[in-house]
Amino acid sequence: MTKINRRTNELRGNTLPALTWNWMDVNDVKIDLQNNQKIPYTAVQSVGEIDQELKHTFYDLDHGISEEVMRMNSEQCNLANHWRISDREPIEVRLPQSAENPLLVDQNQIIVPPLQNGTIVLYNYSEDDSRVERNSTILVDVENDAEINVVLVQRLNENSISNVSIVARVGDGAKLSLATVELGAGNTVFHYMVDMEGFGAESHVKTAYLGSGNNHLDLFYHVRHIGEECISDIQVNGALMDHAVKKFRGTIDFVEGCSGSDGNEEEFTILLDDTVRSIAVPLLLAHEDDIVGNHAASAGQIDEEQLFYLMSRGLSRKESESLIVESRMTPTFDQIPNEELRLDLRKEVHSKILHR
Amino acid sequence: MSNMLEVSNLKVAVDDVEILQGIDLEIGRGEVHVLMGPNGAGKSTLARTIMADPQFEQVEGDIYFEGENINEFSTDERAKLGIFLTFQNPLEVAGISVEDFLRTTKIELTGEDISVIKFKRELKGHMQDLDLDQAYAERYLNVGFSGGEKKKGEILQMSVLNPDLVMLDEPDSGLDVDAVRIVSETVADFLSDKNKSCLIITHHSVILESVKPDFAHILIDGKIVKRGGPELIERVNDEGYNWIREELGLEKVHDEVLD
Amino acid sequence: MSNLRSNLTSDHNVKQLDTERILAEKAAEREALKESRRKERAEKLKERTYVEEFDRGVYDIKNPNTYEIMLDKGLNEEIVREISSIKDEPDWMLEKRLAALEIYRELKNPNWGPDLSELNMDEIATYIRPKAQMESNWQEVPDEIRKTFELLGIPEAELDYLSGVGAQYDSEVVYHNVKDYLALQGVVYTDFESAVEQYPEIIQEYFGTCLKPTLHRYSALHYAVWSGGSYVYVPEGVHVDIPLQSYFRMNAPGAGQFEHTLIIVEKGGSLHFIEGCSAPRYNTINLHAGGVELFVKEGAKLRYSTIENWSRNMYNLNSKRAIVEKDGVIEWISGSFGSRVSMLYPASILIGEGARSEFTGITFAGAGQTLDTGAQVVHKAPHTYSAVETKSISKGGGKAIYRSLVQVEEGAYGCRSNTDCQSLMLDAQSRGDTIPTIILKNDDVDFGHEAKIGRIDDQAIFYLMSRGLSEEEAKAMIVRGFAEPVAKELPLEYAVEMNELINLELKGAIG
Repeated sequence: MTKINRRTNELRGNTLPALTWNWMDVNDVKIDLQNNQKIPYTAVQSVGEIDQELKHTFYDLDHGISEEVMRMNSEQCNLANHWRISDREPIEVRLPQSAENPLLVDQNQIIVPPLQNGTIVLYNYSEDDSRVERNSTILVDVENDAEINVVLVQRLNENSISNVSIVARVGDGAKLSLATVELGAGNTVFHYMVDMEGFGAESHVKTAYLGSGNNHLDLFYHVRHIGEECISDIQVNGALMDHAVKKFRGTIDFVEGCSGSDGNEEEFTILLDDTVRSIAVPLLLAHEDDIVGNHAASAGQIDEEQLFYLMSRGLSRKESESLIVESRMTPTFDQIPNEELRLDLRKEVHSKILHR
Repeated sequence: MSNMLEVSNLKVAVDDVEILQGIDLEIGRGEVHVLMGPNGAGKSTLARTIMADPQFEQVEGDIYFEGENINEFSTDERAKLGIFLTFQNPLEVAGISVEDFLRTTKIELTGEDISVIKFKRELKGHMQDLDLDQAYAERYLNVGFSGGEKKKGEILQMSVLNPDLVMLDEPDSGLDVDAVRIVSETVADFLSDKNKSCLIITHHSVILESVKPDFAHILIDGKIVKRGGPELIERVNDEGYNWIREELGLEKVHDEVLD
Repeated sequence: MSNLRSNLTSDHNVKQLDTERILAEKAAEREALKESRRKERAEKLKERTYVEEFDRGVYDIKNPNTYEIMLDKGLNEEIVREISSIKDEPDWMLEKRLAALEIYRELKNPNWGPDLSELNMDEIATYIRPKAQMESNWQEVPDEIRKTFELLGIPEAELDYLSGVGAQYDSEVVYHNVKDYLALQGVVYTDFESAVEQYPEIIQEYFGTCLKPTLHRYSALHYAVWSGGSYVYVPEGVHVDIPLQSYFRMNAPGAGQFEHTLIIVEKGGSLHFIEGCSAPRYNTINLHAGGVELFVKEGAKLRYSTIENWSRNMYNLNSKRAIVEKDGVIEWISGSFGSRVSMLYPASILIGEGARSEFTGITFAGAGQTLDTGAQVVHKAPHTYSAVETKSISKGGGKAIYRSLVQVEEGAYGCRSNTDCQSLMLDAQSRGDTIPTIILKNDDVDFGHEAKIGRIDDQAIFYLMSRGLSEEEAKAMIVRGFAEPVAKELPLEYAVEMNELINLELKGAIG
C-alpha cells in the first residue's frame, strides 16, 4: 500500500481578484494538500502527450488555485492527458481512488480545434474509505467557432481532499460549457478561470453541490470578459446539511474593451440544518460601461408552501425536501451524457437527504 | 359514523389573527358541497387547514375523517388517508417529469409497485380526457406551464391519485370556456363514483352545471353564515352576497385578508 | 499501397482545405459583423464630452486661512498631549488618546481597497483652532465664517425646519444651538468637548465602546487626535419631531478633521440627525477621519442622514457604527459625492430581538475620485431585519466601489435580509465594482441579494424620447430617477441640494 507523505508549511490559495476585509476570512482559503512526493497512479493510463509550451502559455494567464499548488502539480504529476477533440462522441474518463491509489495528480489539456464540438466527462470517486488526495489541473483551449462541454463529477469520501484548477481560453464565436458536481470530499477547493478572448465568446457554468458531514467546499470562479459581445453565466445551486461549510466566491470581470458583453451569476443555497455555514462573495468588476452585469444570491430553508404542496400529494417531508433539492440540481445533472451516472448521482442526493 | 369528513367548531389563526371563527361542516359519502363567499372570507384557509397547511394554526376544534380524529396528522398522512386538494398556484419542480412524479406518489400512496407500462397507459387515458398533449407527461412538473395547463395538471393528479375526498380550490379560475367545460366534465365523471365526496370552492356557476352540488355553504368573515341546497347557489349567482349581509346585519364592505 | 496512401492524403487535404475555407469565410463574416456591431453600439453611445473640472459653486469658496492655533504637521505623542492640554481634558481622556496612538502606530493601511499611499500623516496638521469661540447666537459667529455657512444655507435651514444646529469649522465647533422646548424635555445637543466636561460619566461609559480604536488604522488615529463633533442625548420616550443638524466645514489646507459624534436615543425615543460636510478645493491633501457612535435603545428609532460633498483633495476615511437593541431601528441615509478617496461603510450591530437596520445610499464618483462605500450589518439576535439599497454612478474615469457585509450569527433565528445594489456607468473610462460578502451561520434565515451593473438602458431612453423628451433630458431624468430612492428619504432642502449636485455632475457628461 502506498502512503501519502506529509508536508509541513501552510498553503493558501484561490485569492480573490479584488480583496476585501481580512477579518472575514474570505480573501483566500487554506489548502489541505499534504503530499510532497511523486507516487504512481495505476487505475488508468495517460492519453496523448502534454504540450509544454501550451502549459506555460496558460500558466501565464492564471496560476489556478495558487502557484505553489501548480508547482506541486507539475512535480508530482502521475497522470497526464492531452486531447484534441475531433468528433461528437463523448469522452468519459473514470478516475477511481482508493488505498491502492491514494494520490491522483493529473494534468489535462483539452484542445478544441476550430469548428469542432465535443463533450468530455472526468469522473473522480472513492472506491473505499481511505483518505485520498487529488490535485488536478485542466487547461481548456476552445478555438474559433468550436464548442465543448466539460463535465466534472467529484464523489470522493469525506476523509479526502479534492483540488481542481481549470484555466480556459475561449476564441471567436466559441463556447465553453462547464458542469461541475461536488458530492463528496471532506475538503474541496475548486478553481475556474476563463479568459473570453474572442468576439462573441461564451462561458456557461453550472454547479450542483451537496455539502454534508464536516465537508468544506470552496467554489471559486473568475470569468473575464475580454472580447466584444461575450456572454457568460454562472449558476450555482446546492444544499448544505450537518456541519458543512460552503464558500461561493464568483467574479465576473468586465475588462476594458469588452463592449456589448453580458454576464450573470446566480447562487442559491438551501440550508437544511442549523449547524451549516453558508458564505457568498459574488463580485462584479466593471471597467467598461457598455455591458450588463447581474448577480443574485439567495439562501434559506425550503419554502414551506412548496413542501406543503408535495406533502399534500402524499410524499413524506424528507421525500419532499429531497425532491426540491434534486430539482435545483437538475440543470447541472442534465449536462451529463451518461444517464446511468446521472441517475446514480440523483440517488445519492436522495438517500443523503432521506437519511439525515 | 356515516360522514366522510366532519369539521367541528374549527378556529384557525395566522399570526394571532383569527381567520376562521368556529366552522362546522359535515360531508357525507357521495356528497358534493360547494363553499361560496366573497374574497377574503376564509374559503381557501378552510380547505388548506383540512390539508394541514403549516402556515395556518388550528387553535380550536376538531377534524374527523372517516370517523377518525386527524388533528395531529401531517399533510402527507392526510393525503395517504385519501384527502386531496388542488392548489391555485401549484409548485414548479424542475427535473421531475409529470409522469415520474405521479408514478412515485401513486406508489407512495398505495404502497404497491406499479409497472411503468400499465401506469403509462392509465396516465395517457386521463390526459386524453383533459385534452392534454402527450408531450405533457414528459415535461417537468408545472415548469413553464400556462395557467390552464397548471389547472388541468391538478385535475390530472386528482384522476390518477384517485382520492376519496377532493377539495377543489377554484379549479376553474383563469380558464377559457373550452377548458372550463373539459375540467368540469372530468370532475363530474370522477364524482360519478358514489364513494367519492367533494368540496368545491368557486366563484363561477359554469362548473356547477356539470358538477351538481347537493349542498351550499356561504362563508363570510370566517363564519358559515348560511347553508342550503342548489337554490342558494342560484340566488348568490343572481344577487351576490349583500342580501345575506343585510339579513345578518353585517357591514357591507369588508377588508380582504386572504383569498 | 502507395496509391491508397496518396488517396488518403488527398482526402485529408480536401478536408483540410474545406476547414480552412469555412474558417476564412467565418472570419470574414465576423469582421463584417464586428464592424457593423461596433457602429451600432457607437450609434447608441453617441459622442460624449467630458468636463474635467467644474465650478462647485458655493462649496468652493475659500476663506483666508486665519486661525488661532495650528499645530505642527505630523503626528507624535507631543502633538496628542498638546491637543489634550488645549482642550483642558481630564486625564482619562488623555490616556485614551495615548493608547489609541499606540494602536495607530501598530496598524498598517489596509491591503485591500483604494490606494492610500499618497496620504502622508507628516503633511497633515491634526489640529487647527479657528479664530472663534463656540457661540449659541448666530450673530456672534465671526463674519467670515458666518458668511460661509450662510452661503451653504445653514442658519436658514435652522429657522425653517431644524430642531437644532451645530457648525464645525476646521477642528472646533463654532456654533451650537437647540430649541428650548427640546432642552426642557431633557434633550441634550452640544459640542463634544462640552459633553466631556458636563457629562463625564455618560461619556466615559459610552465613548469608544461602539466604535473601537482597534477597528482599523484610521479609527485609531481618530481616537488619538479627535476634536469637535456633537453629543446628542434623547431621553426615554422623547420624540424629537424635527431634525437636528451638524455641519462640518474644513477650510484650512493640509489639515485633518477628526470630529466625534456620539448619539444615545433612550428607550422608545426617536431622532433624525443630519450631517453635512464640505470643504474648498486645495492642491494639498486633506484628511477626514471622523468617528460616529450611535446607541439605539429598546424600541428607539434613529435616522442618520449624511450628505458628503468634500472637495476632491480629501481622503474621507470615516467610521460609523450603531448598536441597536430590542425592537430598535437604525436608518442610514448616505450620499457620497465629494472627496478624492472615500472609505465608508456604516455598520449596524443588531443585538436585540426584532432590531432593524435600513441603509439607503447613493455614491457618485466623477473624474479622479475613488469612492469605496457600502454598509455592514451583523445580525446577532433572532428576528432581526436588515435592508440595504444602494446606487452607484461613475463617470469621467471615476471609480465607484460598493463593498458590504451581511452576517447572520449562530442562534440569530428568523432573520431576514435583503440587498439591492445597482451601479450605473456613464462612460467606458469609469469603473464600477461590487464586492459584497454574505456569511450565514444558521439555517433559519431568509436572505436575498441582487446586484446589477451597466449603462443606461436604451429602451428606457427610447421610451422617454417617444414621449417627446430630448435624449439629454431623457438621460438626465433616468439618472435622477436612479437616485430617487435616496432623494425621497432626505429632507426637501437636502434632496434639492442632491439633485443640484447630480445636475452639476452630469452637465456635459452625457448627451
